[in-house]
Amino acid sequence: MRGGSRQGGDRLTREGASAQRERIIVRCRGLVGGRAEGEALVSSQPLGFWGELDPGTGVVTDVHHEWRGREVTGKVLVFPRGRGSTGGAGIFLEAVRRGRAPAALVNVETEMILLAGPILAAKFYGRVIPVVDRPERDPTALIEAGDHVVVDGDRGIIEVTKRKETGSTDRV
Amino acid sequence: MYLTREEELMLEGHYGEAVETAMEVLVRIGDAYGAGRMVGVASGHLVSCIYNVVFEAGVEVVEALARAGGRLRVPSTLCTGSAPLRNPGEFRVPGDWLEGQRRLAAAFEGMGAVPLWSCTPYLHVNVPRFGQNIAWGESNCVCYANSVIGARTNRYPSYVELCAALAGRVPEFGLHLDENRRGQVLFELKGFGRRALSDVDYPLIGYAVGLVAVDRVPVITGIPNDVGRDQLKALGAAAASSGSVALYHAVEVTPEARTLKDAFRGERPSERVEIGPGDLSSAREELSTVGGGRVDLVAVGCPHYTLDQVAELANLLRGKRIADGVEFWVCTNRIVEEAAERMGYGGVLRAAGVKVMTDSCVLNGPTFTWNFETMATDSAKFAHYGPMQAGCNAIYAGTGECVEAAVRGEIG
Repeated sequence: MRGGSRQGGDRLTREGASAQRERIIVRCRGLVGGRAEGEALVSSQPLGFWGELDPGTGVVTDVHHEWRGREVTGKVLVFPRGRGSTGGAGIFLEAVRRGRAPAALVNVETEMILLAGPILAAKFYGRVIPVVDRPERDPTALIEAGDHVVVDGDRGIIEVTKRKETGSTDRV
Repeated sequence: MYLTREEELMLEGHYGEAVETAMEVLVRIGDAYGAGRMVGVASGHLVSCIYNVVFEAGVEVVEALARAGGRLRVPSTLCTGSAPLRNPGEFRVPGDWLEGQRRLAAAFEGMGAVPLWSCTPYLHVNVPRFGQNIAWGESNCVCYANSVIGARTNRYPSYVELCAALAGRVPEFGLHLDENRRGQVLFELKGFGRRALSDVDYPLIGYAVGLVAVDRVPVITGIPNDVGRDQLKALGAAAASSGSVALYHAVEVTPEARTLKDAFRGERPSERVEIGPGDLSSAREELSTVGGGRVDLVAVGCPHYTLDQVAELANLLRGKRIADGVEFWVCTNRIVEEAAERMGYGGVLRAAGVKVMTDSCVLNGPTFTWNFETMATDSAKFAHYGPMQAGCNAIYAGTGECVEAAVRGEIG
């Protein structure tokens, strides 16, 4: 498996029960290597970029998408899968060129339209945009908008720091 | 994934930087999809040449690959581009947009691509055979090649189809494998009585099927086996717009569905759906953002019109003249245009005030600079993407109704 890791083992590790902000580590499948972090943007809707994202502003333009009007630049995008036109990789790379790309992608299942852009971004623009999928927990349920997410595409791991302070220690 | 010695050498850069990049992308995709090995492809059909898909980043990447010595290893046609390259002024193409499209054209032609600039390669120049592996982009091309011809391709996105053409191979997964070509959802056309299905119905059937099938393989019963090639083309293009259908089977029509059992390879459908006249009316409503009114663009030829379609249109337009303030664009390729000219249809269209757009189309052109308000079209795909891509209203109608609308300047 190139640039990826499919790991079994413990489902989930909780760290720092004494810390005020909960940090959760979830194993995933690493598809595009590198490490990046940012604020999460989360949707249960698929996204395909062509006709859906303005690469010049990084703003989602699809009227049917719940991210309409939101900017993806520098965000960790958490959504189930790609969709739609095969032109998506083109729009993604143009967003990279114009400095409007997201920081990383976290999917339930990543497909070709989503994969090609980040691979070529590293190759042609020196931009590391890690991509992971198949997390051991549904990322669209676990991660909420505004959570801080570190994506490690080499190790196949995401680290989620909840935005809301939680006192509870029994969240798994 | 298993790689042959030659493939390892390609990946290690012994065949040049462009092939190395292409192989790296393909191997990563193959690993993501659990492919066991690579398979050779007979041809490519490319969408990375469309400026409205790849923009400036695409120009930079494709020029870099060409500079690095990139040469397409299999015959590969260029899909419908973003500007009519011979007469851009006639279609108000902005200079920087045209420049971007021309740079892409030069880079691709330098790598040995076939400048067909059309989304009907399966009818001219690049016609695959049954069972051949190919690496194609563009959803209608993929759908036609898989379904009507029985060639084998996944829906390769921009850049990935280029990598496949540079390497001459793809990872073996998805629709390259027998087991994934089996039908999954059964659609039965019911309730049409003695009414024969018409040209207006086929895109609507495709649209209704795509909405339910999404990315599964639909099997359709009730399509007469004397159905035309143009009708299947329209059905597939629509199913690939409302859903991401890359392969459909029409029982007793398409080659992998001689019988219902054949289409499902002996297994049972996971879902059974009836499609009747009411569903087609709903699809038609869904495809029209307004009920009627003034029309300032009539656009046909998505996918590119065939010679038969141009002939039919010319016969409908003979002796008529479209209204002032209306543009009527027929999108096709230069092969069809040339034949239509020699058969006298070109003159009929010109006399009616209709323009023929080659190399490009209404969706891939500089859509937002045109500022059309309402487009009438006989294409479900134009109607589906038009409002998103061109920011205009769309009305789906039969070809005859489109001609009427152009002459009157309004519809409905």
